[in-house]
Amino acid sequence: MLPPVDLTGFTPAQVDFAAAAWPMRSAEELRSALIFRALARAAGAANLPEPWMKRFAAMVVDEVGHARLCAEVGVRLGAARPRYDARPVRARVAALTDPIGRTTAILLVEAAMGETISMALFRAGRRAATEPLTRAALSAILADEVRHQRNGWTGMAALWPNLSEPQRAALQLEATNGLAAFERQVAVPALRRLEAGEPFDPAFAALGVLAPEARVDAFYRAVEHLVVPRLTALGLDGARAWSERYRR
Amino acid sequence: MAWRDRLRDLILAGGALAIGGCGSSLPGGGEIGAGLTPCGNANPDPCICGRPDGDALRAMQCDQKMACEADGGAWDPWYTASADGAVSEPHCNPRDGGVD
Repeated sequence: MLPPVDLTGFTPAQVDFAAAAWPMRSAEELRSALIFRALARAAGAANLPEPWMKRFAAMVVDEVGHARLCAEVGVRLGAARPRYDARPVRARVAALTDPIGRTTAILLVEAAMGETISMALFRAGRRAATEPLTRAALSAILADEVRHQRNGWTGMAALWPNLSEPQRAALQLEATNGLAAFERQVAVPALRRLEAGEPFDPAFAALGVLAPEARVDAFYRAVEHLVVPRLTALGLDGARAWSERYRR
Repeated sequence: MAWRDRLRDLILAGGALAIGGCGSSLPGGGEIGAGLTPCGNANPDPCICGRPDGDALRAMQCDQKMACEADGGAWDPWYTASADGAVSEPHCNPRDGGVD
């Protein structure tokens, strides 16, 4: 049950800016649902045992719920309905042909690494958010992202002993490319804003929009303190994946 | 670590092209990333280095880029995130700005 929105003290322009983020969040959450559906299907084709099938299916349900939640919050704040574009997901899945390769690539990059970074961003966003509806929605999503990233890392750890050396080498490449892509998508736009000296209204943070400095800090902390060490613990070379992310 | 240090590290890692060649205010200026291989991860052009043949997403984006440029538009290859983290895909900036 979501609390009512409380926009006391915010200007219409501030609310409009923050509201516009929710349809975009909704679209991103639906893309996550689609990629995790592909994970669940590939895992089925690869005959992965339980509890992984149920866990992957639950992640799909969670992400669809997030997409609906974000759309609902956006509407309550006056934003337009989201527009969904599944083409990037279709292209990503199409490039991963065999069931085991598809399962492990999505599990590592989108579930383990991606949801870890997403968790860090939602946590940072919630920390600064004070508007009740915004804070409740971010909290609900964050709780699921924590579970999803855990599923990613524990799932990878369970599969790892049965992977061949070529499969592990392919995952090293996936991790390397994934780190570059995440940095481009998450950190670089914020770094560009900081470099340009664009001002950031603190009221946006109270409405759930992450300040560029906070975004940069959350991203790199997640990469350095969580993603890279966990890649290494898994059996990949996390430090090399990070240092060579633009060198292939 | 401050954001300027992050930006410097990104460039040193070979990601200068990922930030669109900016960095003029960085120590040493923007020349740090000069001489990068055009086939590196940092170059977002979907049509180069055989990318369309090896990646369905790049193939789709390359088709879109060529159609865009044939129509006089400018292809924006970057994934850009709004302040909330939602990501917009590479897209075409039409010649007329897209305003009817």
